[in-house]
Amino acid sequence: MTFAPEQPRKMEPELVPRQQAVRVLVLLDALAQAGLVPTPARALHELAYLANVLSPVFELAPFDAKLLKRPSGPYYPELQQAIDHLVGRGLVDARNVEYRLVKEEKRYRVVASYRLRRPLVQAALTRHAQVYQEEALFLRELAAAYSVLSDAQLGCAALEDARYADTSVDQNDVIDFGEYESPANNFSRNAAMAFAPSRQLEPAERLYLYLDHLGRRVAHG
Amino acid sequence: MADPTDNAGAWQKDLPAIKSTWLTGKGSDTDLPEAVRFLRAVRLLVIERERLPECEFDRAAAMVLVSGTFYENTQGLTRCPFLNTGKDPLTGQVHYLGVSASGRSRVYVGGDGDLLDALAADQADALPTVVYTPKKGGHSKLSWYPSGTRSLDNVHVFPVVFEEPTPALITLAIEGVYQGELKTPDGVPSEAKLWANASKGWASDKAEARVQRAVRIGLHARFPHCRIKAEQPEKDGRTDLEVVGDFGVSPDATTNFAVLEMKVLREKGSTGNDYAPSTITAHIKEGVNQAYTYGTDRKFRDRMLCCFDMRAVNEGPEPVYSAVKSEAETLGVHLCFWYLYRSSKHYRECKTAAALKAG
Repeated sequence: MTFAPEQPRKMEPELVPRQQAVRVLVLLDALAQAGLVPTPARALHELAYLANVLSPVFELAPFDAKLLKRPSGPYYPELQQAIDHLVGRGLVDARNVEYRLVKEEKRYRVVASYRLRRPLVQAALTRHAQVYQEEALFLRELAAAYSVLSDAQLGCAALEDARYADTSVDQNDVIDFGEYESPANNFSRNAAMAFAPSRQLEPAERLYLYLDHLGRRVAHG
Repeated sequence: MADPTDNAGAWQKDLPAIKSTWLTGKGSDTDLPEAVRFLRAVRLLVIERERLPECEFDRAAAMVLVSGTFYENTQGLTRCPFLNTGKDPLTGQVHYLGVSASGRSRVYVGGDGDLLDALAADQADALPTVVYTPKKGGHSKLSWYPSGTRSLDNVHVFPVVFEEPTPALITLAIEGVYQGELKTPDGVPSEAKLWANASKGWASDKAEARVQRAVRIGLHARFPHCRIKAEQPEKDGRTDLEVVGDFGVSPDATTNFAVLEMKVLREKGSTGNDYAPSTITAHIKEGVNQAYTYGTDRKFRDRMLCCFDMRAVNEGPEPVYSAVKSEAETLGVHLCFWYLYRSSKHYRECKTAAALKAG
């Protein structure tokens, strides 16, 4: 099997906040298409993580190929900052907002549910989907596959993910699947590509199989 | 170089199970139109549910294809994450779903009329909908309303049964596509047109690819439990369409049902260039050879040659296949034939002439 890992995207520093904002909008849109609306913050961060590790299945570059391994699951501070800005600008609605102490991490984290203010963002989302068709398809299929997780599993399923749960990285260390380390260490991508090795599967098919397997691991260990 | 898929991190011990996973077919159809994907997912879901002994047959259900906006604007729906596995009850509810048949549901109270009222109350009666009418003993029906239940006349009914793709049923599925989309150019969108200039009989240079795509979509809709593969290259060449049963079975129980070779018979090309009768005969003969070779090399149960005749005169299948009929019988290649009219007027003229000839 050939292996052509995608390098993470290189972004101009001044454009990062804008790209993070767009990222939030397209993730919320994909989750809404899958019926996951309003979206819990944890699910949004988790889908962002799964999109990063699984984007090479679609031969797309990860938005971010590293993150801090936290005991409570994936959390991207920059993504949360982008969400907060979008809420402040009135493009995203936040509900049931509270700051809750995460004991294992000895820090507070936002607990809220989000939904797009559709009339204000639809035109931008439509344009984005036209320009980045493959990415839009990837995120839509990923969110649909992700939606098979139960409400209790949403936001904590990644703790069983092939890359996130790998013990080669300790808690509070950096999980790197292509930023500085070899993309071959993206075990999630590797596992997704391992399904039915003798058959030629569609990339989206691998997402559903991966999320089905993840769901089983979360349910049964 | 080591195969990176052998390094699955925390899932390393799961690799044997991962490699022998039963395929579900979910996500295998992303290039199809949304309505086709949805209909296919709903049919699979209902077939899956009816396989279970606890399946309910009490009341009707509706499955509606919706977008994210619908979920954002509709209150009181319950998320059913396991719905598209067939594990959750379907009847007595309206299900608002995406293309992969997952989404949110609501219970309705009453009979069939109340189901339609519930859809109207949710402003969903103009959205593509499948109404599931369950009946024990394999008699359930799925009524597909592509324009919603507001347009009750625009309906197609499908049985809820697992149909094995035999040559007869495949032919029936293609006949449906032919009647609905291919027979005449009327109402065909420009991106699907088979004619470069229909009045002059000039076939589009994309005619074969477009016929293939239409047939592929039709086969997907008829056989939702099968993978319909197009353009599969091997040492022996490239197949046009393959019907493969690899969903819901162990990897070693895959069935290669049928290989279809598609041929468009044209006497004028897209710029008016002529195709000699001998060239067309050779084209048909080549189709028989291809269907036989692919079928035997790749171990398909059935081999079919499907010809779509775009020539000026409809001679029918007998004269068209006369040169290869005996050969095809010996090689076990099923011969199918459809005639493509140049306009609805051309169709009416041919039909009238045939009736007069028959007396």
